[in-house]
Amino acid sequence: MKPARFDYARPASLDDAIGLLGTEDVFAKALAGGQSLGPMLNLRLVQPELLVDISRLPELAEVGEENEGLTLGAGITHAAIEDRRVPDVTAGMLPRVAGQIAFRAVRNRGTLGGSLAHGDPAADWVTCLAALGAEVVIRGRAGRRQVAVADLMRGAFETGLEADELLTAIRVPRLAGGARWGYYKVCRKIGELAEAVAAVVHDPERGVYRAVVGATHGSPIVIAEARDAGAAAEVMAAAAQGFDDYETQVHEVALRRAFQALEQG
Amino acid sequence: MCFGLVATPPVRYNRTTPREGREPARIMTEIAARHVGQPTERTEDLRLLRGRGQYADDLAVSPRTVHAAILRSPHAHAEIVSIDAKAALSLPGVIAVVTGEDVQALTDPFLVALRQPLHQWSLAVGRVRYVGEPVALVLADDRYLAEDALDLLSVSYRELPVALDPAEAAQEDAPLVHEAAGTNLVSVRDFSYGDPDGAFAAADRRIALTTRFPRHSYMPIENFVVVAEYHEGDGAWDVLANFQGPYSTHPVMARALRVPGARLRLRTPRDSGGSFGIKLAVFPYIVLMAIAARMAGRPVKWVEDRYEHLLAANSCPERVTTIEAAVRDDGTITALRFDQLEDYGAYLRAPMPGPLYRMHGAMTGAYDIPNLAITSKIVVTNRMPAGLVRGFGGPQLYFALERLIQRVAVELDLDPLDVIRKNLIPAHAFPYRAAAGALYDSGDYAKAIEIATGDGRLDDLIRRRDAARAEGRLYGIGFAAVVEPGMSNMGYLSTLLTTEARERAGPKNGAISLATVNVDPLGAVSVSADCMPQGQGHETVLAQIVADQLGLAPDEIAVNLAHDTGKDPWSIAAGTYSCRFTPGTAVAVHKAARQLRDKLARIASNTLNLRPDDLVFTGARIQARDNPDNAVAFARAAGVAHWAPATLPDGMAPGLRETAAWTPPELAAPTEGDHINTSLTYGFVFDMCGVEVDPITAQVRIDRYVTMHDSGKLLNPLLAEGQVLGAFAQGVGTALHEEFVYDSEGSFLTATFADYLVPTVNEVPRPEILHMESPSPFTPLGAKGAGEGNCLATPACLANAVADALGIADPQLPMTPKRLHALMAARDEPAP
Ligand SMILES: Cc1cc2nc3c(=O)[nH]c(=O)nc-3n(C[C@H](O)[C@H](O)[C@H](O)COP(=O)(O)OP(=O)(O)OC[C@H]3O[C@@H](n4cnc5c(N)ncnc54)[C@H](O)[C@@H]3O)c2cc1C
Repeated sequence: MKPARFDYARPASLDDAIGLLGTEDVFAKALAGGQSLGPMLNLRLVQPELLVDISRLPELAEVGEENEGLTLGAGITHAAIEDRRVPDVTAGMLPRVAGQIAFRAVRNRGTLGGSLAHGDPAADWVTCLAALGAEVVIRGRAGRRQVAVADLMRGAFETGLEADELLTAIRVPRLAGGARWGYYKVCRKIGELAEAVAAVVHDPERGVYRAVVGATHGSPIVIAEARDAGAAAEVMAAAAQGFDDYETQVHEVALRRAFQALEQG
Repeated sequence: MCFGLVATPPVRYNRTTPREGREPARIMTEIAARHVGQPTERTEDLRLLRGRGQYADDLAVSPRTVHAAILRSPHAHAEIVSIDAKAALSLPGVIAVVTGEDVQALTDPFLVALRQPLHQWSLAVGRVRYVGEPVALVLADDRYLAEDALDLLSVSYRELPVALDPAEAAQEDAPLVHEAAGTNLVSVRDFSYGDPDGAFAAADRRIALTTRFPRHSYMPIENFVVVAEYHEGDGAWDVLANFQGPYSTHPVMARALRVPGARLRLRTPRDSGGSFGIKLAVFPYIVLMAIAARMAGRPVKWVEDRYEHLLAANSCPERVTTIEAAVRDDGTITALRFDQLEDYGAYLRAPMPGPLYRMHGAMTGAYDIPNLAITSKIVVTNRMPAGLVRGFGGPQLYFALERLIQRVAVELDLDPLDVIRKNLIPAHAFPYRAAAGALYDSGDYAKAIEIATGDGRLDDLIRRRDAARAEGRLYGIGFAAVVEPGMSNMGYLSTLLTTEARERAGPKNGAISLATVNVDPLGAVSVSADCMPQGQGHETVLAQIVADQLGLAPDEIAVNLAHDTGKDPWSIAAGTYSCRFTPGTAVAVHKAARQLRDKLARIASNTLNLRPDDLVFTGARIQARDNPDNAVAFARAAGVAHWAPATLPDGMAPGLRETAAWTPPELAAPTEGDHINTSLTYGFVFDMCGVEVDPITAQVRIDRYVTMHDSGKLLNPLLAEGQVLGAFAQGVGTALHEEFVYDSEGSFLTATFADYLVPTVNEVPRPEILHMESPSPFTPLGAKGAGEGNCLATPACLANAVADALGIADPQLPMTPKRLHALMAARDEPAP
């Protein structure tokens, strides 16, 4: 379990990183916290020629709070959010979800950007941030674009990111007063990725009542007009693909319990 | 969703007073135990917890050492058509590529317990028989390069049909794993004790069930490590490996390497990062690295990685048991019939098929059942070879037996606890000869159950169940009563052979333990012995034992259990496995210390002008029993044996180094009627628990767990508690999480910890631990093996509780949410 040979670069700026990632004929990969990429390198599931270490880029550590919401650099770790070392505009949802990801050692290094770019359907941030209506900021040679988290994933471990593109920030809308959320994760043991996971955000003032079901066989299922658990479950059942009986049941229970959690505040 | 921690209940001890007229048969010590029996903290922890352990991978190697990586088979069954190593060999830094052809030229196949042509070498020869089987070995300057070279090896395979499921593999038309054997069902033996047919004919009811005990293994943190070097001049190997025994495997390795045992020096480091039986299975790699070192002319180091470990290191055998009881309407069981089919994977590695026979004499468990029929069948399949896993045949037996007891209760509409109680071996029957030959040394099972269920513990469980059920929740109670064997009879495996074959092979019995205690000229004491500790705390206990004998403090005794077959005492029984430390090695150390004490007493009696019997050893002095002032310092008496041998009493050998051997006479060879006392000591474990199953997610929550142990005299209660907690955690893993899964082509699906779930502290509630002590009359220390009990009891106890909660007859292990969900759905479906 030793990785194949690779070169390693630690560029000083975001532009340099994008430049390196876009080098012709070189298979390059960004390295953030290494919590997903590390095991894949060791198992030789991916064999890049060049690792571009973005974990210390100052641009990815930036935090900005505005009226509409919060911008978090893609390099911010799960632990930083869990410990509330960054501001929160989600009535506690982000810190709460962060604390349920893996073990502390993984949270110390794993990042928001790495989690979203990795595209694991069971990743907590995918479900949570899609429910919040967050967007990602993407930078590449062609410039800057912005995509809703819910639309980033194209399938299991597939995103619409180009080879030279990096997630630089995540923009999370501010919940209005009176907004509520619910989150529920089914996992067989603490620190495991979810077997089923669901998030619900109800923000009457902003007219948002959105539910998201994750840990599917592909992209998360987004239920834009959630209304209530029963209706949401019907939408989920219609949208779900490839679920067996058990999977249907646990995803439904995750969804119902997320609604319950929302009710109980 | 995941379990909370229960507050730590205190550990309680109950000592049974010896029953009148039933004094233990042999008491060999009258020394006041000052240290033995105390909950002394582990002296090992000072180094282990501060990262100062000396594990195999930490030890310095020669700078000439090369590093090995192994190419493994991607197919479950295939012919190896060709191996092209050219590209790999041309990579700078690559030194050699070893293939099956080299192995076939330089070694012999490993010896097999059965007379069947199931040839296994350390690399696949001609054919691969399981996914993960070693196919080629690359030696390079470092491990990275070696793995790069693996990618350049090109092997062409011709795929063959596979035999995976044990029952299907046993069919006549199944694809053959070993063509030369002509069948996959390589051994079938029938045994009968008492009159099972008569008892079944006379029974009010016959109650049967079939259980499947799945493949899994327990996970050491440290994987296999081998460093092998060949000394041209001596024609001998020097190998360092984290091997754990049994050393009956040493002759197997030496024979494979075609050398006498003395030319295979095997050293084991002082510390081990866990074993649970698994580190036996490093032995084929020892042979492989040995010949690689010879071919390369340089030392070879190999460190197994986690992927390799999960894929191919070790598995317990899968066992399919059909068990049937002849029962009276009142719940009395008059006979048992076992039909056991055990899957050993692609090869029968030594000492397989141990798990199928280790419990053979004790198949009736804690029950007084005089009539017994057993059919034991061995099947080979295209899966990883089976090996030692903590519990070693016990979990397989008790999952069937204790599930059956619960079924008997359900079918007869009795309380399961009443069925257990009705059939228990009565206290007055000890020493008790079980139907198949086990000689249970001591115990009072009914009393153990009385203590465990007492103090309101059972009432509380029932209250919790009733309250939960009143709210419509799924709550169940489970029990398991288990006899825990300690120290195996080296002759038990020959029960597998017919009487005639046994006679031809020569008798096998006993279990030798060896230990040496040394006192230097200044009175400093050191100990070496034939065990390979893996975290149990052996150093601590041995120091306690020797300290008591010599009147010293435990911290004055230096125990170093790094082992060297070239220099230290060992026998074929050596190693740390099957709970042999306490009834075996500890006794040998006790005896060696005792011999030294006798010798020192004679020396001191000269000086003090007293009879040796009138001396006591205490506070680093040897003194008159009735006059403490009449004394000589321990160190002074020791010095005499070194500095003034001429003054020693007549006939006394100089020096102070005693090696003691111990083998108990109770471990006799199998009889003509196949009766076998499979182990020396038999402890008792009674488990009781309440669980709740989430009706929607189908997750199991352990609400309360009580575990009662009688392990004879406890040498160190703290260490015994550690054994119980560890075995319990692994029992929970077996019950709820851990399983090696193969797909229909034989590919392995659980090769990372994301797929193979090992419970952690979050998933393992703290059990309430109780003890009582029925000393063993068969060992001088009165102590029994105590390392495996909960591996035997906990899976069965939790399965019984889940069966009770859901009203199902067939909870399969591991009881994953997915499985339980399917069982609940099937149960809820209206009958057709
Ligand atoms: C034991 C364990 C348990 C886990 N449990 C959970 C869990 O319960 N829930 C959960 O959500 N996750 C879990 N994870 C995954 C964890 O959250 C990872 O941290 C995360 O998936 C990857 O983040 P990273 O920063 O480590 O990314 P890396 O591993 O460094 O990179 C992952 C991938 O993303 C790419 N990448 C990284 N950053 C960027 C960027 N800014 N722009 C574009 N591409 C980028 C990399 O090139 C790579 O392909 C677990 C991981 C482990 C090891």
